[in-house]
Amino acid sequence: MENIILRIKRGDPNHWEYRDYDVPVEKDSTVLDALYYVRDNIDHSLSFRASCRMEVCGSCAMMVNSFPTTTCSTLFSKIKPAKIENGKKVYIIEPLRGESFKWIRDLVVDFDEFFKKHESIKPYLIRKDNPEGQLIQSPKELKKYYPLTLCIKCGACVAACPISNSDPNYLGPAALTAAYRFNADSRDQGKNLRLAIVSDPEGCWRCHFSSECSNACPKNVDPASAIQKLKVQSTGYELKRIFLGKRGE
Amino acid sequence: MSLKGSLFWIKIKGRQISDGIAFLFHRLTGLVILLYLYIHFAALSQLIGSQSTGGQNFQNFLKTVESPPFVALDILLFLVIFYHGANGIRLVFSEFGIGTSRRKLFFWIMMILGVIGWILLTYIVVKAFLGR
Ligand code: SF4
Ligand code: SF4
Repeated sequence: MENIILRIKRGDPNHWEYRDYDVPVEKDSTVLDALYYVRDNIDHSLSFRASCRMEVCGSCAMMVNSFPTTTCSTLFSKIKPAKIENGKKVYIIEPLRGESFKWIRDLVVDFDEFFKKHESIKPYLIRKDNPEGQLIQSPKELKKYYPLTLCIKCGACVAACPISNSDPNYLGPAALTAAYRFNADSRDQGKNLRLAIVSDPEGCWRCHFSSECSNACPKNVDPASAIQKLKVQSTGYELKRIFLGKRGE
Repeated sequence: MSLKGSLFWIKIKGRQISDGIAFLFHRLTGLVILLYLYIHFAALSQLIGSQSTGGQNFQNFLKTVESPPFVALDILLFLVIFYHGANGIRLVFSEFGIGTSRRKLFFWIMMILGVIGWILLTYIVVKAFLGR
């Protein structure tokens, strides 16, 4: 057991400050454990979002020492402190940053924009027919998109992306990855509908492959690779559109 | 585009060389190349009409750009161009979905090829410079 300093950004866009909290942590304590400790024992007014505590719900993503990550799966023993002050390790916790997230209060941000973008790419199976019974899929077909289904919509990739941070209209890595996830699903028939949306300067072509999204993703979804594959699909779609006049349907 | 957000591009802390830092350098080297092209064309345009002085302007110009500081700057410029080119080729492949999951390896292979190209060109230029 040792005591660390949690330096938390408190307040709202009109009035804010960093406040220090002295928190005891164990070898396997997570950043989220420390936040609960602060709220339960030091300052009940601290606001943050969290639920499952096991990297499934995607609610607890924040900036930890300027790096976006899910706090429930970030162990103090695995990260370096931002600084050492008076012999104590200091960790800086801030709300998710970026144009897609409006800061509400303390560590809570508004995900409306993020989910609007996600919804816009039609993140569900689309069928032209009305099939009866199960849609059979081989393990090989499943493998093509399975890792992408692990996305928990935590938003860490969007907060890490330099393009999302400078262009509020960019669809962003999470939404684009979801578009590729459904396009790569053999049961889906809505590929062209999605490509009509993402083949856009603010869609997959705004990505400059800096891969910060993949480095930040706690679920190893690798959004950067998915977006490049989406670009390949988008190129085919655009060529067909230009030369054969086919549009998304 | 927001200015505050664009400042995020130049953030280095916590970023990987093969990803975020490569992205930043690609932009910076792109700007250097653009600036160079501008200066290059601006300087060359000063030579228009040099025939009237029997090519004397051109000879003077050559003398300046073949001086040691200019050659040293040229060699630095090659480094910038080789970085931009090698990383650019990597990005073109990546945008075709090739090598996206082996990013680090791909980046370093391209960097090694870029440095080899730079050393070769530097050798050719220095040899020509010394042999004048
Ligand atoms: S790879 Fe694309 S989406 Fe991912 S961080 Fe870079 S620019 Fe953003
Ligand atoms: S791709 Fe990864 S970082 Fe992005 S929202 Fe999904 S789980 Fe989070």
